[in-house]
Amino acid sequence: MTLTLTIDRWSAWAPGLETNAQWQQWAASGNPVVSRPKNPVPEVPDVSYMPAMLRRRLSPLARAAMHVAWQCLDDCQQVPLIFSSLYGESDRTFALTEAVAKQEQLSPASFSLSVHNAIAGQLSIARNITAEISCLSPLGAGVVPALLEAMGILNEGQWQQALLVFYDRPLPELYQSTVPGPDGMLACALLVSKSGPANLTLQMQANEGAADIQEQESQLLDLIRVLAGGADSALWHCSGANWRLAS
Amino acid sequence: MVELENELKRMIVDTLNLEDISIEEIDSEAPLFGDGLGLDSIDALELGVAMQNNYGIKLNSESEETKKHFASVRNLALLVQQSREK
Repeated sequence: MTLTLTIDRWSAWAPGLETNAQWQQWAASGNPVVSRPKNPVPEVPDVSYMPAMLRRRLSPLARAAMHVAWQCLDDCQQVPLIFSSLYGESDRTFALTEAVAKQEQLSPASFSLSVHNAIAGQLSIARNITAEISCLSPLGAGVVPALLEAMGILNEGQWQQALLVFYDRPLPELYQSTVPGPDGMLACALLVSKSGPANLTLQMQANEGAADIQEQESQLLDLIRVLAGGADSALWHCSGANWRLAS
Repeated sequence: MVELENELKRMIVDTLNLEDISIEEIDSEAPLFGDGLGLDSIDALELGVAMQNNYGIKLNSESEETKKHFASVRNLALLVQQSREK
């Protein structure tokens, strides 16, 4: 089974890597991973174009996700949103759990911003987006579920374009010895289109062997490398299948 | 009273991450919600928790009285003053 994708625009953000030209340089260098400090999360993208009253609620991770989404949306009005994050706002959830353990009062704002669709909700408020929103946590399946979700939504026929946003940050330190989690903060958005020349294919092949658990992060870097022209294809093993992404 | 009002303004700015607003810009008599400072219902809940943590004042989110107390910094200051006099 081969599916085709039309990517109209893409944008990615990691500390020190903001523009597509910087990502192309990284992809051409052949470096396997982006070097990003795990603790603390050092810098955040400038989102001063957002209204201050909305911006004040954005965590560093939310700023990264919002930034790439904003770059891709440009002047787009209504598009369905597909957000994919393995752990979401793990630091907020951790802080709330800690407050429960210490029997402290919970912050209502932090609680409302800790849920998995919080960042997508903030974007929909900021951009007046009333189209449907899907928020996924792909576990070991990486970027594939969100790509399939976007293709499914576009095939339903109501929308010409859809916005995909992938984002994750390192887990709070306490978890890192048991669950390694993402190595650094990384966000990437794709504006996918129903029509236009396909520039990516996603092919599924049966895989009899055990599926490897791959976090979204490593697949996302593969995807960015293909988008930035540093590789022609990527091969992922997940959910009992092999997935081959090719440009 | 001015001192208490400034203390409350500082609490509002810090609790709600109003990074672009200085306490001098907040009018003690202006409405906090809607037209004035432009705060919303999540801010109201957050301020409720801050009032309890900082001043030991527990406000019922359903009551009409609470709306009155939260109308402005001046009203919040009066509430704190009354609770101290008790």
